[in-house]
Amino acid sequence: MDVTLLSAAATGLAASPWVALAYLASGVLFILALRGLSSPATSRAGNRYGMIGMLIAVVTTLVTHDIASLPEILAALALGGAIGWIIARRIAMTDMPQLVAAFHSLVGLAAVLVGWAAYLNPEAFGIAGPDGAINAVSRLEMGLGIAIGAITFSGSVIAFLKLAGKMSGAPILLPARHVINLGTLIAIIGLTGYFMTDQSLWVIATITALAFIIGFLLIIPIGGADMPVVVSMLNSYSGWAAAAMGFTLSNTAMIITGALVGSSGAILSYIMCKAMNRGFLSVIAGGFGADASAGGGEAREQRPWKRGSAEDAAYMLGEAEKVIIIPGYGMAVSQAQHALREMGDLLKAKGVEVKYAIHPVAGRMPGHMNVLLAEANVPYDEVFELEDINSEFATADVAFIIGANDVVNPAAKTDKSSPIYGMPVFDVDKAKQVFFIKRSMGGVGYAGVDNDVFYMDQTLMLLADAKKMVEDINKGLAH
Amino acid sequence: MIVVGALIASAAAGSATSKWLGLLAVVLASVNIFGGFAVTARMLAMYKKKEK
Repeated sequence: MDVTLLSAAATGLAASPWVALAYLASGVLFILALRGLSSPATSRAGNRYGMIGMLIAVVTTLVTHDIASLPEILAALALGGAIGWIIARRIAMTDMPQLVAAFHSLVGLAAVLVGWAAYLNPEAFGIAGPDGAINAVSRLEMGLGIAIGAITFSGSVIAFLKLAGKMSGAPILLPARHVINLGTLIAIIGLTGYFMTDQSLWVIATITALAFIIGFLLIIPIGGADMPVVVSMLNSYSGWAAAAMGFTLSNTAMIITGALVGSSGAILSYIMCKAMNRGFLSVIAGGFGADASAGGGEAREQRPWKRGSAEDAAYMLGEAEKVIIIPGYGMAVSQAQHALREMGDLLKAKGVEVKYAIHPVAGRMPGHMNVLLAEANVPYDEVFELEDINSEFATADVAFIIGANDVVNPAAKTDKSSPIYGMPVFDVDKAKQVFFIKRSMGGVGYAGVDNDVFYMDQTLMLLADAKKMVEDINKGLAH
Repeated sequence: MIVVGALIASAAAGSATSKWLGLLAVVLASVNIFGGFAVTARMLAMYKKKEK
């Protein structure tokens, strides 16, 4: 990695070693930032490294380029900075997934604009020959950067609308969508190739338009629960768009950090796909859940299940020695995290050991559950990942499932015909007692599969809004 | 990081259209940067509270 970075830095701006050094420093700071952010203990330092790295990159850029319009640029920075700052201050923690998607869309659009600016004014960037024609390689980089940027933009807009609930989270399936998508993709690649021989306006305009369209088409068929993968994938795209633009503008800082963001996002997407035991392509191809009814639909015969009350739950939780709480998207929807933390406090006051178990794909963005629990002041040393806690269910007295469903479904381990077969799940069936908070018996999770946990002997279903139920349990515990 | 590209684009002389495209890109990118860092700092501040 270091060698790649060094050579990238060396080739880009050989003429000015100080600039290369400054950009390299900011690249190193970004690596430190990403590394720092990977653990709660070092994450604040990581965020600070990122800020310093960004500051160095911006100042270096401003100092080393002939600035034709400094006041306007500073005004633009101030305006954007103020807007970003205010949004970040005001946004509710539960709106975080859509905010992240919205921010990605801005990066994508910015990449498109930069690409167009370079296209319209190639001489200023030193990418045009003496006859005014843009270098063929620069055209390729420009075309790719604009296309990836446009896909990032429109894809993120759809992801934002779905996450914000302004558009149905259900997969929307067009007939022949695979053919349409593939055709559009091939057209974009073909046109980008053609752009190298013909730099007419219509070529780059068509590439831009088609890329916007495919961004919409790609994300529309992807369902709500696959959004964590989509968000991190779009994050990755925004990185690659910046990297492609970095090549066009011969800017090493953009190449380095763009590639960093691009590859870390890609790795995260891959990890999450693995956590769901789904191929990356099958997530991207979309439509999951919509055709799953074939698997679990007909098997939904009436089976006996037991309904519990808040009093039952309060009593048994209070008597337990060890309780493992499994939060899911339902907790986010009903904003139950504060009540849940209170429940944890009440239980700990009674000497109960409380742990939280978080599935890699719980919620709607990577780390969604962690952020909500942190907002409610749940100590992070009580929060565990799937592989770290799964063996503990055998020693747990109570598994308390709040707003999760598919991630505890044993069908993933046993039923080969299940659409979630192979996904690692929590072994809640090993716990002595299971409480399952659910709004009603009607819904069957995102994957549309029935869940054997509902019908186990040791399961009591708590049918209510998650927040209301936990508050009632807290009343019982407080007695 | 696209902000660097946006800065370069808006800084270049010669084409008014390019300059405005670049400036708009600077605005968009800086919303992302400032917003991103601020929101991260806010999330991390929640962890900090509990360390005490």
